[in-house]
Amino acid sequence: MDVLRFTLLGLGAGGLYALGAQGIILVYRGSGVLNFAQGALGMVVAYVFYDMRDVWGWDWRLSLVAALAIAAVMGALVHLAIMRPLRRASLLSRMIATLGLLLFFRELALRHWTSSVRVVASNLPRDVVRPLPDTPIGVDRIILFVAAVVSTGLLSWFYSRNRFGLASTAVAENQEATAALGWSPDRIAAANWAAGAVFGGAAAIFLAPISSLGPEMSLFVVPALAAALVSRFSSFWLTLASALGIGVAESLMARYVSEPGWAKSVPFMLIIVVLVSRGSSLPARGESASRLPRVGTGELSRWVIAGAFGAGVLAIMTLSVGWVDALASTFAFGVVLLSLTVLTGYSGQLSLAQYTIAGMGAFIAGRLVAAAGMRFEFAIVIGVVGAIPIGVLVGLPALRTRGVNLAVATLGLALVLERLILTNPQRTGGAGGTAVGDLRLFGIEMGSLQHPERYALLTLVSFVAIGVMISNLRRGRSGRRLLAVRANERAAASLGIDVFAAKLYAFGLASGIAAFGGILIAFRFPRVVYTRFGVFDSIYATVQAVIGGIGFVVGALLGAAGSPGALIPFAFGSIGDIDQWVRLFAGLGVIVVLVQAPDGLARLNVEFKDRVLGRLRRNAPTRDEYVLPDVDRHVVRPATLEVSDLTVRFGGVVPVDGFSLRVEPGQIVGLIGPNGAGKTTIIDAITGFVRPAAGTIALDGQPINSLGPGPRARAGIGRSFQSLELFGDMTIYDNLRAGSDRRDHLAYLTDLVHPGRSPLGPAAVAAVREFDLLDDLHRMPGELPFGRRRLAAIARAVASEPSILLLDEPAAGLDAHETAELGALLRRLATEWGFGILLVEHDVGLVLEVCDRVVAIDFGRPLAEGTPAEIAASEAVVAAYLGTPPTHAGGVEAVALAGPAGSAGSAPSDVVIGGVE
Amino acid sequence: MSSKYHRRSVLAGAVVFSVLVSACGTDDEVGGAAATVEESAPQESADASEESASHESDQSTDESEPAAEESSSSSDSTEASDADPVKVMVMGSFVGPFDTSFALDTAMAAARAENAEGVGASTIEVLTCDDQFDPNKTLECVRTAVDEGVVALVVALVLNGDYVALAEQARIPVIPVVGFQAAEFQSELAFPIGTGAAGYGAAAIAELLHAGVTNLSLVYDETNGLAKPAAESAAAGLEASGITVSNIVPMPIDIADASAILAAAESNDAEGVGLLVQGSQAAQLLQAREQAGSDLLFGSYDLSLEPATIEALGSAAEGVLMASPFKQLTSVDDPAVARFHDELAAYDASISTDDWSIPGVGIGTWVGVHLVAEAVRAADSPDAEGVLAALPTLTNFDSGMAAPIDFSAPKDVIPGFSRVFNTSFLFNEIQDGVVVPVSDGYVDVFAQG
Repeated sequence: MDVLRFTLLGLGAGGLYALGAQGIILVYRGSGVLNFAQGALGMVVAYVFYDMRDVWGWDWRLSLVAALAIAAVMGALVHLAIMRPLRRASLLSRMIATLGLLLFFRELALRHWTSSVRVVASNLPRDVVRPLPDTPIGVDRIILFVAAVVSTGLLSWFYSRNRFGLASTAVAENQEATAALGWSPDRIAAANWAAGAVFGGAAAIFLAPISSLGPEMSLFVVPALAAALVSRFSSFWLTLASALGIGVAESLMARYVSEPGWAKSVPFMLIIVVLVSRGSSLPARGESASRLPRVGTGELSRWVIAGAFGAGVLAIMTLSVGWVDALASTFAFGVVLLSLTVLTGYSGQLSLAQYTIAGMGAFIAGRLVAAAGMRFEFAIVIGVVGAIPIGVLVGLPALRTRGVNLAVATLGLALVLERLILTNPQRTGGAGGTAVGDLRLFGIEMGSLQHPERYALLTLVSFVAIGVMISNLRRGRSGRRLLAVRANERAAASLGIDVFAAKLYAFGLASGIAAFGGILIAFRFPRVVYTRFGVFDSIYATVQAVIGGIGFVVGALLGAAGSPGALIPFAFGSIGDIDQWVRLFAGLGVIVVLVQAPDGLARLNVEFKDRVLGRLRRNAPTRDEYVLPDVDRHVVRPATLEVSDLTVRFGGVVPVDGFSLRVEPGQIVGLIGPNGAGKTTIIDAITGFVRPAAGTIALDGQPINSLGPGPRARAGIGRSFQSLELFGDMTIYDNLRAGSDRRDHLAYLTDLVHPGRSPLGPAAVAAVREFDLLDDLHRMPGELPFGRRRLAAIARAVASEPSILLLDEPAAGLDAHETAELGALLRRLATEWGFGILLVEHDVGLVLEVCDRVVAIDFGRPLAEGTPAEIAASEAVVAAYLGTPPTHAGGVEAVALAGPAGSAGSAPSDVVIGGVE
Repeated sequence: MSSKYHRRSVLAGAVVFSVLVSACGTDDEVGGAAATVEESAPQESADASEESASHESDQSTDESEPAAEESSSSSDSTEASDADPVKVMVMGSFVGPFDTSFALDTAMAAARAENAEGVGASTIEVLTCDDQFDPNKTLECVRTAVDEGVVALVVALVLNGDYVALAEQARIPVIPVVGFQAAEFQSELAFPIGTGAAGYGAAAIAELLHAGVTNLSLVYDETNGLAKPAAESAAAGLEASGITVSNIVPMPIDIADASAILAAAESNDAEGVGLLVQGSQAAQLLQAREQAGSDLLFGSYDLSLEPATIEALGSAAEGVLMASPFKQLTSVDDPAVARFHDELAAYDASISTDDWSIPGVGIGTWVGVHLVAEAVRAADSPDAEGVLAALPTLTNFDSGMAAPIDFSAPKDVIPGFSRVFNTSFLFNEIQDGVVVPVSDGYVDVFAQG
């Protein structure tokens, strides 16, 4: 009976979560933005409503209409003023902008309406019904539950039947295509933002009488996000179901679990399990990677570091205690932000749990000192090491999720850690708390209270040391792996980079650094306070890191300098109570930064420095000089690829069915077929990006079916992509180095201390010379014309020294001259280097000219195989391309199939069969 | 120059400017902590309010430099004595999320009254320091106190910042008004007036027992580090005394609907529930109780039920028991309360207590300053060491607004807390929106069972 009773009680909260989640989905469907500020925006609307009704004395109906109108305007304004300028920005940037909004609205509420609880009366009936004995259920809860169900039905109908609803869904998928259909993506997005805000506002207005009106309402976004996440931000009904599930789970936990934290944590744990179980290890083909914030080069100047360090020491030794404390706060917080430089800046993983992990480091070290009496030196080490598996645990969802899903998952895990450990007195020392006493390091008194300058020096040394380590990492092989994974996981995997290892390394290293920073922050005082490492603190840390420049080491310092108690608020303390406004400014500041300088203040600093240095060195060379070593002609390790009866299924679709192929060293095998024939799917299956339903893939007789993309690449199978998938934030030189770098795991450790020099491998050097890329090495991929980029992409695949090279439409977009050069190049790669090449290409002229054998497929099935001449003469192939019977060419020179085919040495023809796939 | 470049330049300029401003700050300024000197007797009469060094103006960091010298010449009380004034610092988080700035007024009023009466050969001078919820500034406050040579710290409300450790170094006694940190009940230099969350929780339970409840539940704020140990400790004690504790229910701070918490608290035939929660949580539960038509008796305390909340709750707050270590300001017939109001009016007649968020903080601060004056009178020397030595000799400190406190004998009633002196509360009940005393004088809540 109790179970039923508490289930019914949970439906009311579930209905409220559903209303909030539906607003999130509206915004996401209409603009592709995950709005973390949904709860905070709704909270502000609720405050406005109750001010109108209770303070100004307006009629509640008029107040409701006015408040929701304001909500709509606010939502539309958020889109027009913030999201529209950010429409070209990365998903990451837009998510962080909503985090900024969340901070801003919450701090606004704290400042304007204060944190005092505000009890407001409901306009809904407050009667109760008793569906079961001793189970009073408020009529208002029933109304809210029904409202959630009705709105779900209406929204579901609207977005599946109505043209505007359909267009909204289309906008989230592809703005350009929607615009081509005559819809304005901007208006659709603004309308959805307005509708989402109205939903959020309405939910908050009706929630306030039940939960009380206060800044904590902004946290209601967390269960709403979780509910929306389960439905993949699309299905309104699934969202309703999951929201009700969360409400019921919370209610049941309140009844049956007396341990603090579990009521809020368990639902999230289950959701994360669901999320991870249905994710994929690599993004699907076509999942575009948007441009992420730029990263620094990691180049270090010993003189600059020595000068900055000396200035820091001088400041600490000469300034007053207040300034010294502010410096210590800056450096300690800066260490935590450095962890975000690694995690989000270098590896592109957005974690909203980083500051909470810092707290976990402080927790481990604090408890060891307080409860076990351990020496501080050892406690630091164990705290740092102990936080690494926790960070890796938080990072596990990143192996199978990315983007918005990862952000929500890490936010949820942060909440779990906060509730179960950091704010759980059972874990943190009970009433006495965690008293660590006066700090001693190697026998030297370091306590901040007694010796603020010593503690500040410790934080300075720590920041500089970790900053140098991170710069080393950036310049090393490990850094290139992280950047490659950040830029394009599929491309990274195709080069043999272990994407899992790179991600977990980033999470692990970042956790260790964050833990160290957390220890520095916590141990400043003799009694460790863990509540300052909560979810909002994690969000705030991310925001500050972005403001400073999340891809730059100096960005961490700039971001930290603006945090409460740090340098900038301290400096401005004389003009007013700045500290209590710092987070509000940060919320606004991050939005301004994202719009005006999306790479953060550090990037402005770099640009300024470059301009100054550019003027000082007017005659200096404009590009780096790359001196390549002399290498002998490179011959790859010979290997034979054999594919037997390969079948791939996507649900009920079978794009590849019983396909077989053999590619020998020094041989070019062409693979042709009409659009949708399954050519790229075959490459994906051979390289491990798609799991075959049947068939065998073997390299030199060894089956490799069980291997993932990385191991297959390391075994000797390389590939290029139709869309090139060069790493956009790396120079061509670094793209090639990412291809030719050794894949040793030891580099993950040694790079931190000594990144060494990683010159291009012999294959890469030969490729640079062969492809004439020397003058392009210092350029970014975006600076090159398309043809050069395509060559660079092939060169990168060559640089990884595969035995078998799978090229996916390498001639697409090339002009006739470039295509001819490419053809000659491929022939040399096969004949002189010993590559076995599988060439997927629509330019049949090129295929027929350079290939030794050609396989034609249609609908995933083999159609014909033979020499180029035989294929050109195949009626089945011609029919597949042009239909049967080929009564006329219709402008396409089908006749040419039998023309220059096989005429090795002649220029490729213009013959094209099929279109561009 | 493109507009984008121009905007970037402006942004860069702003950053450079802020850094430059940072670099140009002087070393000798106190910084963000608004440490100011309050003149303990700014008025000759109650109507001279314009001379009052109001706390609002004191938040301005224009006066952030310690200016102890200024006060000695402008205080009428100090003119009566050639001795240096005895300085006491009242510190806390006065502005921001929780506005307790009225505590500054009560401190000033108490100092003025003491000076009028005479504090040995000297006078009391109140320094105030607002840490603005910044732990760094909390420490700055203490450093300023050390520099100024204060004899004691009266701490209104400090949530962060381990100020006790720094005060220990300087051997300055600390007098927490309520107590929000464990160290405030552990340091040998601490002489708390209140009992913190544990004591308040015990009071909430004791008043339930006082009302005849024998089967109760405890609902505690799961984010409050002191609440759960207090609940468990209390439950163990109650069980040992034959009282049934049916449910111990943690309450998240951000729960959407408290109905389930209420239902959990009602389970197992509980007759009453002791609330060890924040104000917002208490309000949620009371609303849920009213809606459900529950007759569960609620035991609470004044820290979590602000007057404004009681008023807003209306009928939902009816019948709620509310313990407080201080007398209610509405009990104007009580001589001590009348004296409190008189002293306040003498300091500034325009002050109204109606809109105080947490009256206990204001009253406690007033008690704290009177306590320091009493210790100065008993001290061999009017300095921190003297006051520290004198405080334990005060065996019956009676401010009138709280129960007499014996500072010579800490009570061993809360595990882990060695510095608890005052465990007496008044029990009240909310009747028609008014807090009405229901106990016959003070009750030692730890002696209840």
